[in-house]
Amino acid sequence: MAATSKTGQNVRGALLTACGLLGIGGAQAQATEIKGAVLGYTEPDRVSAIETVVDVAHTFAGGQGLNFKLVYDGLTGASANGAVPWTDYQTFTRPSGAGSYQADPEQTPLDDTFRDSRVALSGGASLPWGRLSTVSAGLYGSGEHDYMSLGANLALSRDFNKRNTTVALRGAMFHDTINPEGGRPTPFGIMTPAGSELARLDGDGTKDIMDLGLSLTQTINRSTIAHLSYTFSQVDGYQTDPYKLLSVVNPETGAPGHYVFEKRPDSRAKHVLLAKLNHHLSRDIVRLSYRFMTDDWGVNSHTIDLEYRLKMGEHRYLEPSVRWYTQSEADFYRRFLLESEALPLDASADYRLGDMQTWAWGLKHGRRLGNGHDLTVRGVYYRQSGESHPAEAVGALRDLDLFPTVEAFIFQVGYSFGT
Amino acid sequence: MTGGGNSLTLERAGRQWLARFDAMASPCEVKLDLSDEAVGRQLAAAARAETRRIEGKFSRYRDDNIIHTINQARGAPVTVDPETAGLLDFAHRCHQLSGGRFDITSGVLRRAWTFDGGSRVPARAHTKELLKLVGWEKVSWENPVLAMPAGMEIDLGGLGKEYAVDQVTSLLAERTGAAFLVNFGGDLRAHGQRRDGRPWRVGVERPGLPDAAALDLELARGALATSGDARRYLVHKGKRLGHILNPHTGWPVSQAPRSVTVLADTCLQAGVLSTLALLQGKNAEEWLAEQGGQHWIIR
Amino acid sequence: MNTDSRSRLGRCALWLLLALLLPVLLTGCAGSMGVQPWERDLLAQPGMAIDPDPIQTALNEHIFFSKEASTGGLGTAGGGCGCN
Repeated sequence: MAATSKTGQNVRGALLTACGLLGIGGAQAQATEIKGAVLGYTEPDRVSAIETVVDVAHTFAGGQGLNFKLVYDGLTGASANGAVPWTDYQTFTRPSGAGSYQADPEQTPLDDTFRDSRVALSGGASLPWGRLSTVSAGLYGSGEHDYMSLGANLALSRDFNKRNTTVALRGAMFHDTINPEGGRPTPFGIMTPAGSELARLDGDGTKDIMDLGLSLTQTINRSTIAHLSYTFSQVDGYQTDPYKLLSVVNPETGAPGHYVFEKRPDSRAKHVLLAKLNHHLSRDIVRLSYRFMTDDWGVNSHTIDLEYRLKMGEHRYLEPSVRWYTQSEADFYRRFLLESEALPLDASADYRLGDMQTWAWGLKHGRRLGNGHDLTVRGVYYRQSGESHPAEAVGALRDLDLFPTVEAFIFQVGYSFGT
Repeated sequence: MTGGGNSLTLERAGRQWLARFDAMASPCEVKLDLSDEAVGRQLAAAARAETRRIEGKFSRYRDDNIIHTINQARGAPVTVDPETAGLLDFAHRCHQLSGGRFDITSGVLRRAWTFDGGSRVPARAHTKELLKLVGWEKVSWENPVLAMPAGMEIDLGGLGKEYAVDQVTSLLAERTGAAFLVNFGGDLRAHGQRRDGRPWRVGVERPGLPDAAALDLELARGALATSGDARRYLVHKGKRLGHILNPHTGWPVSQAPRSVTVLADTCLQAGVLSTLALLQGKNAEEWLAEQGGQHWIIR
Repeated sequence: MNTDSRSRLGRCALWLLLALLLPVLLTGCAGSMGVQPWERDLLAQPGMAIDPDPIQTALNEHIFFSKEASTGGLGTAGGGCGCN
């Protein structure tokens, strides 16, 4: 139970911590912690989403833990369908096959049929194993109207060197099923006008994901702690996005002749290296992280994240943050195909697999309320840019913006308390 | 803190074994919820040994322990062992959390005061002189090296009993799965779940106060500590002065409650909370209310 | 876009990082670093945790996963979604 006095000090809690430092553990009391958050996301003229989370975690007297988490997402708006813009109107068939939509001249074609809700439920348990180790396991399930994911995870961690070093091993497996509107199109199948027959693949698409990770957390000194981790991820199965197309254009003028559905490899192996450093200055805290990812699709990415927690009193802070991300395109990424060439083995014009750079600028405020509960409020400005004028653009495409900069605004409110 | 008698007694009390010995100027009890007498005797002996060890190590009356070395160092730096270092870190934290009111160097002030119920108070000049030797901020403490100006003294007596209760609790918890209650003269801690599933019945006496003021509680888990000045006080100009001194003024805390009992997770935590509450003087009730948790105050 | 040389560069970077990390992990350098249990006051502050706000991390990961090609390494147990 957290209390604040006029000086904002929780002496009772601080004393318990001080006892802990002396090696005197308080009798592990049963405790429940409830956390919730609501997030609003909007890309002007494109996608908007709302996401709500409730997380309940209970610790038992013996140190065992149980947790449940419920997430609800609602998504509306329009997302790029992969085709290139053109100087004239373009008509596309809706993924269901019934009905069509239009893209304005010189505008990136956007498919606005994405009105979806997703619910995800996860739960887990953790058990102390001896004095220095912890075992945890969990289950996950999520569903939206065309997609379902089921997963399980297992982790083992152990402390060394008076708890200055922690080593953890993590594993997770997921089985995802996609059952798109109208069924899955045949890869590289030609997009036919609304109402007509379209070559489809039978059945649902499935993919299996396996993650394995090893991490090390090390206390450097009284004010510094570092973390290193390596994760390997293998994805096998249907990874094509059934809603995405490529424009097949005239090699001289750049005019779109027809459109084909994309095709991605059915296997992907990823390696992720993550390094983090937290340092406590005389009053404030700095957190820096770097992540490097490389996979056999040819994508390499670097992420740098910097957060600075400006303390304003015992339970109040302001935290500006900046995140920089850059990625190199996948081997099979093609902004468009040429009518004159033979179809490659795989191709996708999904902007998410292209060369890109993103910046995210955030500001977060956290405070403890009079009732001992914690409130956080956060705003983020996200900006994503890529190759607006790639070298391979032909004809009139050279004068069009093939990767417009996308901006997004994020607003989040979080609330948590313990009983 | 004189060591008590040598006897360790073990007798049956209901379904539990009750061990009794004297230490830290208090009657010490350990109630063990088990049936095996031999195991009970072993555990009781271990509890007493640990209590004696702590008493010996941190008593300011001895001339062969770390406290003596520190208090006689005359300004020279002293390197202390990890346990002492931990307690000094803890005392430092208490000093911070109390805005300087909790101060283990304030013991020298007792040379000026005699709390015998009379009305003699020291001359201001005397307390002013002694105040020059008071103040944790004057001490150089860089774990594990302590350097104190000559003439200053530290006294861990305010933490010793509660620390012993917590250490004995840890020790017994490591050696047995049975539930137990450690009670050193009213500073107590309950651990584990009894076989009959019932809580411990504890009575907290507040010495010097009418018997009716004894607390009768049921405690399943947690710690209780009491700070009070009912036994030692002065009456000055018609006002009652308790023996808890304010290290900033050298005089007793004005309008301190006569007794504060606090319930917390560890005995040290409860002990410091009750002491800090007393040091709040007339604001004791408000301060304890803000901190949350159960407490009992008598004025 | 010379994808060959870029993926070679990527692989080089990966091996370089592993080469830097391995000595740290193996020499037990970890054994000599650290603090005593009573020196954990600053480290115990919520802002010093490796993941101070797991809910925010999960929300962020979900957003970035929907807009970029990289995932994870951050330990969130969240699974897939058909995010567009």
